[in-house]
Amino acid sequence: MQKYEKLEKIGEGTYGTVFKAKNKETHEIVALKRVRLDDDDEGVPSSALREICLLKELKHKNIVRLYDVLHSEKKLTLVFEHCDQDLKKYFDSLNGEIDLDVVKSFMYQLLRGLAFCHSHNVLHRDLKPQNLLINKNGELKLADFGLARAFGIPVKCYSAEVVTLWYRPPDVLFGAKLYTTSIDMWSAGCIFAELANSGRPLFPGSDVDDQLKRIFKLLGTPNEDTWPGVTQLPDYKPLPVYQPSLGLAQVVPRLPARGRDLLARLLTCNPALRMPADDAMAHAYFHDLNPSVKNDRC
Amino acid sequence: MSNNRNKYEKARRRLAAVTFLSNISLDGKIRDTELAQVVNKTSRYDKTDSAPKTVDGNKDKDVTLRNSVRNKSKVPQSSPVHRVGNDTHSLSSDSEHTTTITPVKAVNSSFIRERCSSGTTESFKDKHASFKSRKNHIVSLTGANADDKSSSESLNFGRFRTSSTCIPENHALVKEVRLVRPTKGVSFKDERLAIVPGQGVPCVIFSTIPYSKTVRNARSDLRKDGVRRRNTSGPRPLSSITDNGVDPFDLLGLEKEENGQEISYSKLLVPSKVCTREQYKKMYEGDFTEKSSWKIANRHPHVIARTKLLTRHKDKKWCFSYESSQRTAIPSSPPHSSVDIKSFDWDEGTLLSQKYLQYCPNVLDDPELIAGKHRTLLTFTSYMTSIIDYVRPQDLKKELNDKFREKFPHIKLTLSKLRSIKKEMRKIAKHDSGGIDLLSVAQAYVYFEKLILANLINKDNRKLCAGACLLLSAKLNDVKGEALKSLIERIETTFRVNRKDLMRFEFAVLVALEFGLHVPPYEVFPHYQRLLHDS
Repeated sequence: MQKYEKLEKIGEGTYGTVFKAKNKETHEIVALKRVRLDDDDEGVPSSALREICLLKELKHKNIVRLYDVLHSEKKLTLVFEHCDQDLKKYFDSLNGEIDLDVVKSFMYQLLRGLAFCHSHNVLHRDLKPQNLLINKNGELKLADFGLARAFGIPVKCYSAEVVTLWYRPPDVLFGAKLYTTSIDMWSAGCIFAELANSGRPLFPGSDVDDQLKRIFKLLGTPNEDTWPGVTQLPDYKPLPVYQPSLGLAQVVPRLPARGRDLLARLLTCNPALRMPADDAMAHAYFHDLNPSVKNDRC
Repeated sequence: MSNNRNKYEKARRRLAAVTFLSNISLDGKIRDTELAQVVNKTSRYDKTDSAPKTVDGNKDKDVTLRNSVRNKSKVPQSSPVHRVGNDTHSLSSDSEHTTTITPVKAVNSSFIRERCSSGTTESFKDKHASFKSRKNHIVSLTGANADDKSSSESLNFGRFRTSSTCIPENHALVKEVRLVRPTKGVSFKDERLAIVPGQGVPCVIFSTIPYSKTVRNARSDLRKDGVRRRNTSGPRPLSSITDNGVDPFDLLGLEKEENGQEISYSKLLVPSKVCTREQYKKMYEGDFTEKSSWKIANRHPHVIARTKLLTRHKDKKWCFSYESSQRTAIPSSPPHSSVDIKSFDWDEGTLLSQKYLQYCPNVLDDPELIAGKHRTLLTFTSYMTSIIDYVRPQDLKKELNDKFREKFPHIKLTLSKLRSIKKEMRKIAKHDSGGIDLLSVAQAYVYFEKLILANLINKDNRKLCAGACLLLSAKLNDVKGEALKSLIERIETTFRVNRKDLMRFEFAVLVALEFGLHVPPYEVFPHYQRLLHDS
C-alpha cells in the first residue's frame, strides 16, 4: 500500500471496504476496494473476479476505470478511478428540481455506457443511482460491476437474484433465468424516471409482490397476448388485473412528450419489446442534446 | 560453444542444454541442508582481465562485496588456483547481474526464497536463481552432497561440463568457490572473457553469445527442463508435491510477491483485442477471402467424424469457400486454422495479449482427431463411403498422441491426457444435486487450453490448474452459495487436491490468463456444442 495514501473510508462494498486514497507520486485521487483473501474460503470473491475481468475489457468514458489490481498473500486491492459522488448523493444535494438538460445529458451518458457494455457482451445487472458515479465535469460513469456477467451464449442458468428490487424488471421478478440486455434497459428506464423526478424512485416496492403490483398498476398487468410466454416463467403468479393507466404524464410531469415516449419504450414489460441501448441513444428525445455531450467520444 | 550452437536446431534436448549454458535457469529445486556444512571449504574463483574485452574493476568489487559469512574461509590469495577457476556460468550470462560473492551457504538459505521468481520473463531473477542452482551443482561435485536430488540434474551438469571448461577439477582441489557476477553497469553481455591465473596466461577464453530465441521461448524450454527433472525424481503423488510447497506462481512461471509485498498487475488490465459483436458481425459479412477459413473454423466448429468422413474428400478449395462449407460439414480445420489465424489481422494487437489472441477452440483438441489412418475412403460417382478398419484402442491412442505431438511438439500433455482431464472436468460439473451448467465447463475448457497453449501446464500442475479453471469459470457463471461449495468439494475429491492449493492456483491461473476471463462467445461456443452433443 506504499503507492497510495489512504485518505478516508468511502464505504463498505459488497465484498470489502472502499477507501479514498491518493497516489503518492502523481497525487491522483483514486478509490481503493480492498478484498480479503482467505485460503480456506472460496478463493477470490466472484464479485471481485467479475470486476477485474470485465472492467479490464471495458475502457470507456462512461464506465469507471479500473487502474490497477494489487495482490498480496492475504488481500486484493482494486484501484479505481475516483468520482466525487454518485447519482444518489447528487439527488440529495439538489434539494429541489433538476435541470432537464442535465437529465438528458445523464440519461444519454448512461445509455452510452450501457451500449458499450452490451456491445462487449457484458450485462451490468445492478444499475441503480448508487452505482452511477458523477464527477465534477458532469460526466456519468457506470460503476460496481460485481454482479455483471457475460451473456454471449444464452443458457437458462443465469441467476435470477440480480438487480436491486426497485430496478428489477418484471421478467426477472417472475424468476426468468434467461435474460439479455433488456434487463439493464428496464433499470435504465427506472433511473430515467427517477432523474426526471429529481430523485424520487419510480417503483419503491417492499417485496417482489409489491414490486410487481406497483409496476402493473402503471403499465397494466401483462397476459399471454401482450407478453407471450409470461405464464411459463418459473415464478409466475397471477396478479390482480390492472388496466394500463398510461399515466406517464402524471408520473413524470416534467418530462416532455419525447422523453415520455422513450420512457415508455424502456419500461416495457415484455423484455423482447424493450428498447435496446443503441436504439435509445438514437431516440428523438436526444435530438436536441447538447452536442458537446453527444460528441464527447472516448 | 559453437558446436552446441549447431545442434540448436537438431534436438530440443540440446537446446535445453544450451539454454542452460546461456544461464537461463532451471527453476531450481535444491534445498540442500547438508550442503551448508561443506560450504566453508569451497573453492574460490576469480577472474581477471586479459582478453580483448574484459570486465574492469571487478576484482576490487569482489573483495569489497565479499560476504562476511565467508570470512571463515581461506584467504583468497592463498588459493593457488583462485584465478584459474572461474565461474563460467556467470560469465556466460547475457544479462546484467550484480556482483556479489555469495557464500554457498547463504545461497542455500536464500535459494528457496528465490525460487518463486524463476521463470519470469524478466531474465534477471531467472538467471539469478539458476546461478544459485549452479552453485549447488558445483558443490555437489565435491562429493559432499549426500542428498543428491535427481539423476537428470547431474545429467544436465554433465552436459554442462563437456561443453564448457575445467572448473570441476579445479574445484575439487580447492574447496572454495569464487563466483563473479556482473555488476550494475558492468555486463557480460556480448563480451569475450578470459580466465587467467596469476601469471597472466589465459587458460580459458570464451565469448558470451546472446540467446537468440525470444525470452518467452527460453522460458518455456527452461520449464520443460525443470519438469523433466522433476519427473525423473520419481512419480510422486500430486499431494506430496503440493505439500512440499510447490508454488503455483512458480509452476506457472509467474512473478510472485515477496515478503507480503503487493504486486501490481496494472499491465494486465489492457483490454483483450477480441472483437465486439459488431466487429464480429462485420467479419462475417465483410470480405471473407482472406478470413474465410478463420470464420469457418469458428463458425462450424464441430461436426462429428462420421459426417466428416463423407465430405472430407472434396478438393481443398472447398475448405476456403465460404458458401459451400456453410451448408456442408466442417472442413478439417486444424491444419489450416493454425496458419489461417495468422492471416486474421487485428489492427492493434497488444503485446501482452498476443499469446492468447490466436486461440482457436478446435485447434488443440481437434474433434477430427479421433480416427487414425486405418480407414479407406471409397469414392463412387454418386456417393462416397469409408471403411474404418478395426484398430486396437492402444494403437489408435498412440497414433493420435503421436499426431498431436507432431503438431504441438512443445506441449507436455498428450492428447489422450488432455481429453481425459477434460472428461474429468465434465464429470465434476455433472452432479445430481445441482451441478454446474455445461457453459461453465466449456468456458473452463477455453481457460485450460489457453494455459496449455501458453505452455504453462505440466504433469504436476495440470489437475490444480484444471480445477482452478473450473472454479473461475463457475464463479463467473453465477454459481454461488451451496452449489459453489459443493463444486469445490468435488474438485478436491476428483482431482485429489487440497483446497488451499486450489485457492492459490486460482489466483495464479487468473494472472496467467492475464485476467482475460471474459472470453468472446466464439471461443466458448464450439466447446459448448461438443459438450451438448456428447451429453
